[in-house]
Amino acid sequence: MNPEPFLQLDRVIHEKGRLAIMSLLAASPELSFTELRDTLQMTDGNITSHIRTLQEAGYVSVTKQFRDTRSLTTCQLTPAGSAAFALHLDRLEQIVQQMKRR
Amino acid sequence: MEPRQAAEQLVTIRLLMERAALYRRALAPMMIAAGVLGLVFAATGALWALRSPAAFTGWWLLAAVLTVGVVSLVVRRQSLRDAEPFWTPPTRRVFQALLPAWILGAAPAVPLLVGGESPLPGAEDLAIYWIGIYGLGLNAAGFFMPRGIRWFGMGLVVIAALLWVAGSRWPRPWLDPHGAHGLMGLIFGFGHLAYGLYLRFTEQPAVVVSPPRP
Repeated sequence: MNPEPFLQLDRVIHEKGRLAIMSLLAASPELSFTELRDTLQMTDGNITSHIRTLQEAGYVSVTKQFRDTRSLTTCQLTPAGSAAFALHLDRLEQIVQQMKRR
Repeated sequence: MEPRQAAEQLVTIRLLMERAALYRRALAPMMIAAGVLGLVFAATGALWALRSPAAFTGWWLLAAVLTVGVVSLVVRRQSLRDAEPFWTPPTRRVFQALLPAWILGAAPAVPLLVGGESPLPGAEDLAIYWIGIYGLGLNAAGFFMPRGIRWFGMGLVVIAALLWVAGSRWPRPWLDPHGAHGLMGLIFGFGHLAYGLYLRFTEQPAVVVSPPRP
């Protein structure tokens, strides 16, 4: 079996919580912090930590604004994040294809 | 990572992406509000004997506009409570799916307003037309909504089709112009109210999907 796709998996995206966040953001132009939290049933601290990691990697951009005196935090994938997510999916596909060829 | 785990991750990613595109707002309050308004308009329309196609069309278009306004306020209230934007991508998709049906539904009003002529012979025909059109709209929007909205829409389409067939084959004293308000009240009022109450007692607060396993 060719180990290349395994070794090339993006460590930032591969973590289960971050992969879930990336999956949701890949399907929607932007999602609010609460939408992400409620859909994935994560704690505020957990999701904040994952989003920060994704932000530091340049995969996610975070926008904060105030509406009716309440803060609204929205997240969206950056072009680099979209590309990295697509590449990650390709590599997962390659791993699955290897299994089918065996 | 095992190839089996990679396959599982791909399935979960697909599931998460599908769920992200779904409309998440609680539907029960919207349906209940629409149902109550439908019943009120049906009762008052019948009481005031608004039987001509022009009066019937104007009355129910007013009901539609008011219902859309009230439902928008309900959505706005939910979005403020959850600190989320009002015009989310799923909201936009649902709106886009409903828009063709709304345009077709409002179309009979144009010749009435411009020339005073109704494109359909009677109020009962308009009622059946609107039930079918609304059913098609809900069926389209149901692709982006949970909780069996598509089935609700399909049910309305089937009811409209049966009413057309029955009305064209047999005499229809059960569907005189006065009864058209009753039909609208039954479908748009009672139908929405019953569906809203069903949702009210079964609705979950949020769509929850477990993240993929490492």
